[in-house]
Amino acid sequence: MIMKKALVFIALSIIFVSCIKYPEPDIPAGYGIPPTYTNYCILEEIFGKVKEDTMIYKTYYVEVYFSGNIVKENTLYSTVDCSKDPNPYCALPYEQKYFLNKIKNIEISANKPYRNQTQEIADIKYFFRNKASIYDEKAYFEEELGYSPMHIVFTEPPDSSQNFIFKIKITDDNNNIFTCLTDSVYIEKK
Amino acid sequence: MKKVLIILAFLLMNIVAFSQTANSKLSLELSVGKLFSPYRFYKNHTGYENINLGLAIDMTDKMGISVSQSYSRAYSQISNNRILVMLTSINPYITFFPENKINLRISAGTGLLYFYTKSLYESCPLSDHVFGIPIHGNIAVFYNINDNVAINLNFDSHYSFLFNKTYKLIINDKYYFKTCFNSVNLGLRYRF
Repeated sequence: MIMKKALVFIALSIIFVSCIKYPEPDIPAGYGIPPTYTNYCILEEIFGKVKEDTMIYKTYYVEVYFSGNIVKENTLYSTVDCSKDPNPYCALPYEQKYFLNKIKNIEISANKPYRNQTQEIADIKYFFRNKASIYDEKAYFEEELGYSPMHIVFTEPPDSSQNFIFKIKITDDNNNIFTCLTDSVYIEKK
Repeated sequence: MKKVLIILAFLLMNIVAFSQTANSKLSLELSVGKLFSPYRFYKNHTGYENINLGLAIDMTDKMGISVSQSYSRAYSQISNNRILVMLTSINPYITFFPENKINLRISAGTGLLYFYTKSLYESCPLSDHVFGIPIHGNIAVFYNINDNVAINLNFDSHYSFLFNKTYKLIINDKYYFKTCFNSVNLGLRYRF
């Protein structure tokens, strides 16, 4: 009787997991539009970028790009080969990288006094990108870095209009430290 | 690892050396070979050694049941990830041509698959334990040296349904709930 129940349990378990179908891409793709898929990575380097070299503080933000190594590979989409596909609309899947490092601390400082005669910048909002390229504001502590890039927005203007270079320092929960400098940007106080 | 292999080889050599002819029903099998990992999430992993230890009991001349335990490793260069695959299974079998010098044995069964996966990047240690239910198939060819000892060539496959797949282990995608590992082994069987 116990054996019979065990066999029924095993059979049901197999049926249950067998019902699961193929994975869906991150964003639905159409004819000629490549599907996007996610590979999971750990961080090696960060890069800070600014859009323009002169900006007013209200429109200014820093983009922090991530780069690193794959630790979990999506083997379904990463092996698609359009040269062997008879479908004329075949488009190579587009890889998105998700960074698994959890953030412990972020420090941002300017190369000269930014506000209240201090180089450290405290009034900041962090916007994390999701797989559909939508940015959400979040508190960074214990948050995974996620998809690249992240946007850093300064909520207060500098004491005076001048050129700045910003240093970004990210510490993850394994105490790895990643730093980068942005290009010089002239911020107008308006 | 090398030490373990040497000890097992000596153990087998001792068994062969002291073997006695008898009408036996119980047999012990040890074989070593290579793992292949061709399927879904693990298809870019390169299989390394596979060690298989089995105990078989003949119920009749042609039928019996075996319990096997195998250990193997695989590694992916793309993700710098290593896995240890352990399979425990119980398999009813049918032996063809039992009276001949060369026998063929086909067995199928199920059991428990366990594997341990570990990322080898030191900056961000990631590891996990996974369990699954395998469907296990095995084809073995035996060349009988004498009544007790035979050389065996094993072709082994297990298609598994994973039921402990966490976010940390692999991409959180339902597609990867199933996996398959194959192996080819060469070894010895001793009949008690």
